[in-house]
Amino acid sequence: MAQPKTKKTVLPDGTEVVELVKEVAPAPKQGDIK
Amino acid sequence: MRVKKEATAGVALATDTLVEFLTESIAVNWDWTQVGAVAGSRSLNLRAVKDVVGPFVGSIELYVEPKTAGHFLCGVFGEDAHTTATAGVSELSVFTPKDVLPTYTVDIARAGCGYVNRFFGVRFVKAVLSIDGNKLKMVVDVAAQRVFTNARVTAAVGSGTTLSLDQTSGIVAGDSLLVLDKDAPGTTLATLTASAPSDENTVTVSTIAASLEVGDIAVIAAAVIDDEDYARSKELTFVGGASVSFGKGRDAMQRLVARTNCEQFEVTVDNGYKAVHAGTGINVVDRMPSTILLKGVGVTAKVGQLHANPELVDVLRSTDPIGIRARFQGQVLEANVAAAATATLASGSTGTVVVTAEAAGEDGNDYAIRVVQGTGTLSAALSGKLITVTLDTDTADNAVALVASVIDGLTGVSATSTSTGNVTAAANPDKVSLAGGRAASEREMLEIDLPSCVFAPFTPNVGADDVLMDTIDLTAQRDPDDGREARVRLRNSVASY
Repeated sequence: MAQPKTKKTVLPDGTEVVELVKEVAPAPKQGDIK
Repeated sequence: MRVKKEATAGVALATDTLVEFLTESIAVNWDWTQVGAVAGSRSLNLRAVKDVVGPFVGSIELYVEPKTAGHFLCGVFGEDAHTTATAGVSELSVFTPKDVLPTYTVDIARAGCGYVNRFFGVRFVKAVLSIDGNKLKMVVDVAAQRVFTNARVTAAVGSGTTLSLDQTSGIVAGDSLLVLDKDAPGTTLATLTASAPSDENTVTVSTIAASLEVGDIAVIAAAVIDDEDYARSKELTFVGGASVSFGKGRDAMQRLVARTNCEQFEVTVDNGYKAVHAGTGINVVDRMPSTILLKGVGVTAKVGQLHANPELVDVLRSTDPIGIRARFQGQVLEANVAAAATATLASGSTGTVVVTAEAAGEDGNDYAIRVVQGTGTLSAALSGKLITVTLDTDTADNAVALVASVIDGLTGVSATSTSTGNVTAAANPDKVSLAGGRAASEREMLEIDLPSCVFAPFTPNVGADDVLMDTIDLTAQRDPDDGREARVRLRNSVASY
């Protein structure tokens, strides 16, 4: 299984934050085969 | 001195653990009360009648060494939570204040006299640990419910196995009783081996071959003790044997920073108590407390450090909580046992998240994880050694695999998931601490944690030819996250107390 995407930031006080990046499925286009 | 934890409070057991000590001051107050009445003369003091006696209070002073210290910590804090790393080699006891304290039987031999004072129903009500000549010293205040100093023979006997005494409470099966001549108490008339007393006034003993009179004195013989009978280790020391760390704010124990200038450390655990005297009968033992009740517990401390900057004055000024740790280490218990600390987060199902400190060792045990419900995206934050997992509003986005991935992205820890399920705050209501971290060469350890203290007012005053000191009294508050005001971890080779 593919690893979930995460984003890491470091706050000014030194706190590390790792956040889950949600994959947003593209909206279906008109004419797409369903 | 020999001690033994009792199975039933106030019922003596045969003592089996020898403890070296410096001094004891337990007073046995065979007290009386004055009758002074108007009775045809000016005399104020007409008669003395027996008063209540006990609780028998005083202190025991000893240097702390890892093996025997646990008995006193168990008495002051309550039963420990125990983990065995290697049976009989590396055993960890964790003490925190409990609502029930065990009681002890304590034998203290009268030097040069061949007999003991046996205190039973002993509560270790207070312990002060301080530094004395670089050694860690403990002064334990005791409150004994009952005592056996001696008893009187109440029926003349010259044969058989029944000995009548005015007190048998305190005598246990196997005791060696010395019966001393009431007219020449230096003369031992008989040495008898006791069975368990059948009642308060009768004890079955080995065959009586001497003529014993009413009023002869029975005492419990002291065992013959050699140096090698003491199962002990070396005393713990401060400079060169301990380290002190402070942490500031909430979750201070996850923000500890080693101090380089702390010269003084002292901690006191104090249990309030009340002895109950009730009309329970007419025997000698009925003059003693029928029970001892526990009241509140408080922990205070004192630290002293060279004043280098206003850091601690600022803490005082803001009434900020501060966490304090003093870790004393002793002899190596076990080598080549490095292990990383781990913890497991639960989910609403079978899945778990296993978090592991990347570096093996004792310090990994300081990591802790708090799970909170958020309002946005799943995240994990690391501040000091506190990991805060903030859950997504969409429960499906809190799957154990996803939670493991955000924790795994933090520095110093790794995380994996098992099975499936969604992590919830309800499944992890308390702060989850990592545990099981072991140093490559694991040592004896006495670690004192006070997670949330406040300073009493102090001022580093200036004096001629003097150095500026922060000498601070602290009061340990009950930490709402850890649910305790103090924790002591004791590692040694002792499996139970």
